[in-house]
Amino acid sequence: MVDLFLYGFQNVLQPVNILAMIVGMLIGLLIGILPGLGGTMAVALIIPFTFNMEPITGILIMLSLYCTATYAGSITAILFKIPGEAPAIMTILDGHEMAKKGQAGKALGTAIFASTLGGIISTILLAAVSIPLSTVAIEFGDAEYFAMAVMGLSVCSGIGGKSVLKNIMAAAMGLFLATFGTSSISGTQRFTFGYSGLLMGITFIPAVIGLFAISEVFEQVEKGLKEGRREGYKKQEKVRIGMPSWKEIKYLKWTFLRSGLIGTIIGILPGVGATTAAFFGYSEAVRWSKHPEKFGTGIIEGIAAPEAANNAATGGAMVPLLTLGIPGSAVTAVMIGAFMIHGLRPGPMMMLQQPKLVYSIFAGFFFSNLLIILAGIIGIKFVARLMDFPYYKVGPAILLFAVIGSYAMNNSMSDVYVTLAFGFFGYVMKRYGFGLAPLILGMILGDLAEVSLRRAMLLSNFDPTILITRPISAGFLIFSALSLCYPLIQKYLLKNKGKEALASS
Amino acid sequence: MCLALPYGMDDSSMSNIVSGLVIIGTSLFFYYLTARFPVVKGYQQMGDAFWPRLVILVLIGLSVILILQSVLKGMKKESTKKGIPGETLDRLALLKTMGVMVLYVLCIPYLGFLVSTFLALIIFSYLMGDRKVSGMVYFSLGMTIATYLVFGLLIYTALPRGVWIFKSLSNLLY
Repeated sequence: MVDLFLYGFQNVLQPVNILAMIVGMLIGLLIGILPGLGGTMAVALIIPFTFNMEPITGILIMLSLYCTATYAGSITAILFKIPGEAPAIMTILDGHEMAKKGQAGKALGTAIFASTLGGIISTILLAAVSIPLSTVAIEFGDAEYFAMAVMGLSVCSGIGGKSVLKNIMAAAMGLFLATFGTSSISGTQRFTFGYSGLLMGITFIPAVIGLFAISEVFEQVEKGLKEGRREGYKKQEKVRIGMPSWKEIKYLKWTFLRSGLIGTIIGILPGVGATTAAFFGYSEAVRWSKHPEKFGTGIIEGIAAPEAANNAATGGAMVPLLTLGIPGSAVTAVMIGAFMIHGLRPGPMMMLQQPKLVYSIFAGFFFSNLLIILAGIIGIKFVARLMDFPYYKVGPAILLFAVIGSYAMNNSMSDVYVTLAFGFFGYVMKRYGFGLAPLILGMILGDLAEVSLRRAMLLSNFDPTILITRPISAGFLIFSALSLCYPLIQKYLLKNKGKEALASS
Repeated sequence: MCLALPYGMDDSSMSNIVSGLVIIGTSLFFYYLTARFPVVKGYQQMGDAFWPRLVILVLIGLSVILILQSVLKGMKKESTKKGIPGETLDRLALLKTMGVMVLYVLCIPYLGFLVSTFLALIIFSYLMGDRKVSGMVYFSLGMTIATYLVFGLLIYTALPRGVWIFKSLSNLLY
């Protein structure tokens, strides 16, 4: 095994392969920064350019692109509150708050460090336990998937706005919005109003762009722009990357490890990708934190947790791809096509027959994650200059990126209309104190929850006890119930403690 | 109604009651629509309407709780929250920006991407405080060209060309 690893590193460190990874990193950086352009589309576009390359060289470009694009979304998320990529959504919550306080450099540095570390943790896990892990995940039935979706949703009470009730309502709205379009089970059209643009449901990225970018511009304009400057902003003299100090790394060590592990496991599960991993990484950091109330106010844990998790999910998504030939995400689904073009068929046979290639991929993954540091330095120098621009330059640019980003997804104006509609909706939601993060959580997990519940019921002859008689599913559901009630219990306990303290004084 | 409420009134009883009522009304409308879903053979039990109805009912239940909570809170004490002190809201600028945004998106298929973007960026810059004509024009032109280079040329996005004379103009440009 050590020999194979050494061979892998030697192979990847060939000049042509290093060059390939740098090219992949630069494309991934561009794609990640520009909102609405996804890694999936970029990987699909790059495939034709790899035809004449050695298989490993072509694969390395894609791996590097995939890792960097997943990270780079955090740059615009922190600086402009625009998730360049969906997995960076959770990074907005604390990252942008830190930027508002004039700590953009520290936020960006934490994101780089967490992404690199998360990716490296997942690479180690990918190499060490890929087969056993994928075997466990593949055992999950529909009941477990449903319970997992419920567990994901249960964190909604603790994130978003101040009101627990409104957060749960926002998550329910998200679940409802996820029902628009063609039913995944029977093919029936639901709430499409005869409009073909809604047949595939509400397109997620345009909706997110509208919710986070357009509503933000509306809010800033309404709050009034003095001399074209954003309200509440401290001028960023020069954004310098502030890597976390040794003390901070020690303080964040469990966050990195937890998120790295969560991200890898979620990445392994088919259909649940880096975005969900970021949500779970963040919500678990909130759950285990000694000061959960500080999340969302601009703290480094709020950046480290989702960033380590979303990059760890990229490694996790490779596990079922390499060991079973099953794509764990949209990007890896496209990658299967790329493997096949090079005459490779991912799966157990490839693991057995081409171990040198497989270990080169592991090594390539490791270096692709290291390249995130370089991507961060280049990306921040490029993007951070925009931070000090007056809002009459930044605001229109955000609106333009929102429109072109959503249009470029499918070359469709329907997506632009979705972005616009969600821009207005997001503005109203914020005005009335409903959190946007729980809404997005509901939209992400809605389809998974519905499909797995209905399938579980069909297979069990509509016996709902299947959800509580299967141990993993029951465990997830109990955990969810506790998690949902936790903010209320905590509030009650704090109230009682306060009363006791008053009485004793 | 939404524009009549200042920031800081998120938790006020009245805004909660209004938002609760709006959500209940919208939920009832969508619940009515679920009755129109065709019943697919083999999926009579727990069909396509099951999940949306379940979510809608949960949403209605939560809205009722929100309204009741707000009514009880309102009865206990009148909300005194009148927004953040010293905060001024520029609602006219917001309405204008929203209006221009809608117009911009609606005009893209007719004027083409480049023309509508160039014009929209000038207006957005003006609404957000830029008063230097040359600055607005250069910025809009630069952003429009940059967008075209990245999206139109680099990643082959089929940017809308518009109709009539605008289509001819777009064909000349790209």
